[in-house]
Amino acid sequence: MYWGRVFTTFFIIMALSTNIGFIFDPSAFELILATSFNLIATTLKLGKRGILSAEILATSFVADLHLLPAVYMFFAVGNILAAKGLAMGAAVANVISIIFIIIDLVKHEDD
Amino acid sequence: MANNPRHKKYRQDDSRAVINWDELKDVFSVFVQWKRPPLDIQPGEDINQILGRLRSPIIVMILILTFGTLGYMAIDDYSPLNALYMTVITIATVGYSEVAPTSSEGRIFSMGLIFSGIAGFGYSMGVFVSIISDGHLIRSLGERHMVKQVGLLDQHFIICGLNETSQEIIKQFQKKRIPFVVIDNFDGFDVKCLGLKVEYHINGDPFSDVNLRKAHISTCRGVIAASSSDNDNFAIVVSAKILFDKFDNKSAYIYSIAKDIENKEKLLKIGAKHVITPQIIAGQRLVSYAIKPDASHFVDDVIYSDDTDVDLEEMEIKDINNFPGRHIKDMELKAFDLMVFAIKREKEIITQVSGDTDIQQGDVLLVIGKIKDMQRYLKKYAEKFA
Repeated sequence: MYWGRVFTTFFIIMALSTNIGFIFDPSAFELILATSFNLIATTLKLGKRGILSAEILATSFVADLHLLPAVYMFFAVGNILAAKGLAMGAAVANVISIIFIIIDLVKHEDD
Repeated sequence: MANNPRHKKYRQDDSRAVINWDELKDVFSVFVQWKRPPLDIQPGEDINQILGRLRSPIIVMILILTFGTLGYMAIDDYSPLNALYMTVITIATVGYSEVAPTSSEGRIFSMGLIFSGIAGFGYSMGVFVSIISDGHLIRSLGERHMVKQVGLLDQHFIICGLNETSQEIIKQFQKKRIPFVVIDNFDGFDVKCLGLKVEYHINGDPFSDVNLRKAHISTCRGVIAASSSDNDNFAIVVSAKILFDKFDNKSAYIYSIAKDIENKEKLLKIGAKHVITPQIIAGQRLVSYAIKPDASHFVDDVIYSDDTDVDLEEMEIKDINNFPGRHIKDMELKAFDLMVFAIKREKEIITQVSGDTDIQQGDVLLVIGKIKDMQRYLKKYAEKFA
């Protein structure tokens, strides 16, 4: 088994699942976990070579740039609704990122 | 005007040259990256490797910070900012006091965090410092810029190996304003290139495919294997040959030096167009100086010296239909005080040349004359030659 891929996939899926978790149960713990896993998922995509690597990294940045303001809105402003909205945006970016990863994987296997 | 690099120096020298809008458009397009020519290799592979090295320490740091923050929030009900602050000052061993009342469980958690955190923090800092201190990052960023600049070159030469021989090649190319890229890999290579005013240089093994691609081999005019080692020259010739085939660069040739006379034949066999053995050339030149000193000095002056106003130029007949009469006199050389003293036709050299001598497509004419006359002639007729 290719453990590097297991590790990467784990964090990418965790980024999405914790994000969804926060949307349904907006707690501080969920938000911190979602943000951390998203940051880790972005880091894992840094410097990766692939057909869609640039697009995958870009969608990951989109998710981060939704979640970091969400953290600010949640903890500093206290606007939970805005934080949830931003987290939903990040979730969409996460889903697109996963679709890109699957396409990249399939194309890579074909080649 | 034809895009002929061989005659480019005349276009550059002529201050009265008319504006060529096509060339200006190309330059402008490249400048604004509308039409940037494709590179043989994407720059930044090294940067990807560096980013790959950074992945683990960044992930370790994020995990520790998340673990610490959530831990303090869960155990002692710290606010998120206080929990993060406490985690940072704990793993960085700063030793400030606790930012909020901490329970026994919280202190036990702090102890665990200190041990795990210091190890992770130390590892991460070690990797960061090593990436900065080994200079790899700065070198890669510089090379990225260089590869992009080299990617704009066309009809240039790639000189593989920087030594006394290649320094002479560089000198001649600079004098004739022929673009070139130098590839070599030794300590102080970049500084040496700076000293020699070499504009384009790639720091790496000259026989490596990657470095030849960085030197934009797909549009080059030739590769010169000038390494001091014949083994390296073998590898350079083979790599260049494979890449020429890959990029379908049929107009480029490989030139090589062979230190060992026995290797000349082998280098020719594997794809070199011309192979020079310094011992043989030195012997032949010495003999020519001993037997025909004036002729030798004359040729040297014409080809290499800066002090003469006489130049020798090769003109290849691109399309015979440009000269309907198909004779030397139809080329109007005489009107410019220029003279053809030999014609190279396939493997034959024709030396008895007069106005009535016929010319054929593909002929290479060796023309001699004053530099200013040559400039005037090529300014007018450069597009007729390959």
